Amino acid sequence: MGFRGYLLKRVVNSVILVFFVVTLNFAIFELMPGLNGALENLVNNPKSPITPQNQQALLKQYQLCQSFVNGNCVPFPIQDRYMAYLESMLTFNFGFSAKTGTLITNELFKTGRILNTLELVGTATVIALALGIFLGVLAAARRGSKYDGGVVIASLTTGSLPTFFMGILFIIIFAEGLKWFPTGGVTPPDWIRGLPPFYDQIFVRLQHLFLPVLTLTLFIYGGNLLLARATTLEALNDDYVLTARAKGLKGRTVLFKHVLKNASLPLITVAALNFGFILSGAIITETIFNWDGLGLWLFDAVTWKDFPVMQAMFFIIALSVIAANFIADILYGWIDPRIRYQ
Amino acid sequence: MAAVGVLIIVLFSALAIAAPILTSHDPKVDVVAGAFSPPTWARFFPGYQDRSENIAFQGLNVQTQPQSASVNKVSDQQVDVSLTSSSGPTTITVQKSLDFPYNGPPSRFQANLVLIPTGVSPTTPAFFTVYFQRTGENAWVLWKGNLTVSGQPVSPIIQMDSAERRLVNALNITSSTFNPAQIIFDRQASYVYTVAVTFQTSAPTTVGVTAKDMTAQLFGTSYGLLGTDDGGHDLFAAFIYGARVSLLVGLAASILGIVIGLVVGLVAGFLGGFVDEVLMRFNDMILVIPTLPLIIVLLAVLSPNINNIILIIGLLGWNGFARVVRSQVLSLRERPFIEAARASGAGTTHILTRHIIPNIIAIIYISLALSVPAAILTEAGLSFLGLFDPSAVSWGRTVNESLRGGTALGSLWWWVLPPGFAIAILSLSFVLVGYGLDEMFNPKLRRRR
Repeated sequence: MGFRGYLLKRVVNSVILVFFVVTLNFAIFELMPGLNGALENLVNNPKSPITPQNQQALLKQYQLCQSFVNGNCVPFPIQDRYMAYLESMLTFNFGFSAKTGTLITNELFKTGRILNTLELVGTATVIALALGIFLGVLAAARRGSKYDGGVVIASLTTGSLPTFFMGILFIIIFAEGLKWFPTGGVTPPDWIRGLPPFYDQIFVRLQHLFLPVLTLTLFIYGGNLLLARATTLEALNDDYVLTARAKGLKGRTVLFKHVLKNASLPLITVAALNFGFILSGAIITETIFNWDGLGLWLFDAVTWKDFPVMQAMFFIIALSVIAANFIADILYGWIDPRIRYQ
Repeated sequence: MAAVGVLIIVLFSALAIAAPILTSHDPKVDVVAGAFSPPTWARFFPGYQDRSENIAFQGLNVQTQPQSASVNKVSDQQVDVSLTSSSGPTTITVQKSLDFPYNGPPSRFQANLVLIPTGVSPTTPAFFTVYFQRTGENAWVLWKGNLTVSGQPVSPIIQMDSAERRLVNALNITSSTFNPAQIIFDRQASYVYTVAVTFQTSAPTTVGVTAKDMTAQLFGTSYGLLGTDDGGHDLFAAFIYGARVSLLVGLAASILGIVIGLVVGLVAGFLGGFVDEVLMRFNDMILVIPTLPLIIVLLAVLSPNINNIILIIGLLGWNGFARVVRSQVLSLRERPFIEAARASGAGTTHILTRHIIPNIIAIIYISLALSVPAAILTEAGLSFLGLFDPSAVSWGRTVNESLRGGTALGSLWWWVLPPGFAIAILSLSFVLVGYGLDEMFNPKLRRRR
């Protein structure tokens, strides 16, 4: 079947998942009584600034009501609603934010939100992966020693800590107490008036980035470490390791050149699966540090009951997880020779 | 180490169960002291040494002019005084006293009093004043007026409460930002809380007054074991009741997840084939969906009450366990003893309950112990984000509310830190118990003695 067949299977799988997510999103918001919340402030609201005729026109435009009987909305049949919803989701047409009234797609791409979240999540993932793999492989190599035990206990401990608590603790100690870092935000507030030259920006941005990345990394690295340790332990028992050692190769070479390659395969899949987990941690981290990204947007939307934004955020987050899984599957298929040369 | 975990869990459970005994305050409603009060034990640390605690005026002391009177002291808050009036002014003074011992002022005072006169009439009224007085200095009048109807109880129209704005005006405090409690009780001194009633009668008659519900209380600027929040509510009560919610949601949600995972894993593993394929595909689809955003969205749409939270966390938490059960069942299925059971005519249910489940009971216990922390942390995270049951106090909610004001987190440490620590310690204990069970059941992991 080879690589191409594998690729095809993964593409089909991802497409099915996307449909599943859209349907789920649709089902959740159908659970709400009454009309779609975004418009509920506009219609059926005695204080609404829009006249009833315009209300009806709006409802028709949003395809929520196909006609009006005695001033009451006769909704489209559910299949039509679903198809319209599917179409709008897939074309990234999320409608208007109930809080600000602006087009969500505009706000999504014009502000730097996606970049901010990517900055945070990307940095944390890479560091947590590197840290977890490095420490985990070492722990497996020194199995049973105090280092091994200590590292495992440390991972378990940090994995049981609530993220928001770690973030708050860091703010109290490092930002408010020692004043090494700012208490939040992507950039200092006075940068709204104008950005300083690029090289001056880097240090300040890093300062703002440090604590959030620290919090998120602490949240993730434990799982990576334990998994790396487990897979390395298994790989160390394989025969080729014995051969390599018999050949006289140094421990470190054996470890990082041979074992790591085999042990890292499951790591890739799990790292991708964990991406959803990382995004969940990112939501909390962004909330604590006032980090203007997608997670904070979702939090604000929940506070303001801004349902269109909530739908959009959930869809985007789910989409990124599916995309991450897909990329991981491709990587896995590429690296694992057993799939390529099948 | 597992023993430590069990101990901590038992401790928290005891705290949670005994909550109504340990505290009589409702953490959402009862105001127990000044707002933003640190715990009383913080007074030993620098920076908090000028904090005061709750204290009340004591005793009940009656003086009359003329001196012979019948005084019936019903309690520390009620006294009946009556005497025969003289030709001059006849006065009755009832007093409570307080030695204020603290370096710093209280945050608020509340005084109560009901007066029931006898021997007065609209033509011969009695005049009264109610005041605080520092020994040897001027009095701060809280309430004054005339008593004109015998037997009719009289209560203050403007509450004698330092939070009452109209009282501030009556006390002639010029700036509205000043707190009367801080101005009156600004030093260590002796104070009295006094009601003085003066009768003017033309001829000697029996006059008297009953002072009822006579109390005066100062709310301090520190309170209890964990201080107060921005409304003066007891944070220790919030802590204990929060333990209830966290334990309840953690255990219930993880049990739900384990049960569903068990059923799905058993069915998929044992029946195999198409059912297995469908169930595992479904499992994988749910695995891909990021749980926290989904839960957030679900709770924002449906209302966040405890039942919904438990249901949703449980319904999304069965995936990993189902896979584990399934793989165990798959390996057990081919064992000879199962084949033998089948050969002797055992049905599917019998095999599942009598043979398979007992062999995976270890994994069930361990997974249960290890999935509770995830449920607790999820609930805490949701409450922290604002998706909490408004009628229940949970630890995450406490932390959420502490961030409301936007003040520096370090200055409210007694509010922000204890719930977070508690969550961390509780989940750690379950993890310890889980790994202890793992060691117990898995002989390969046991250290050689």
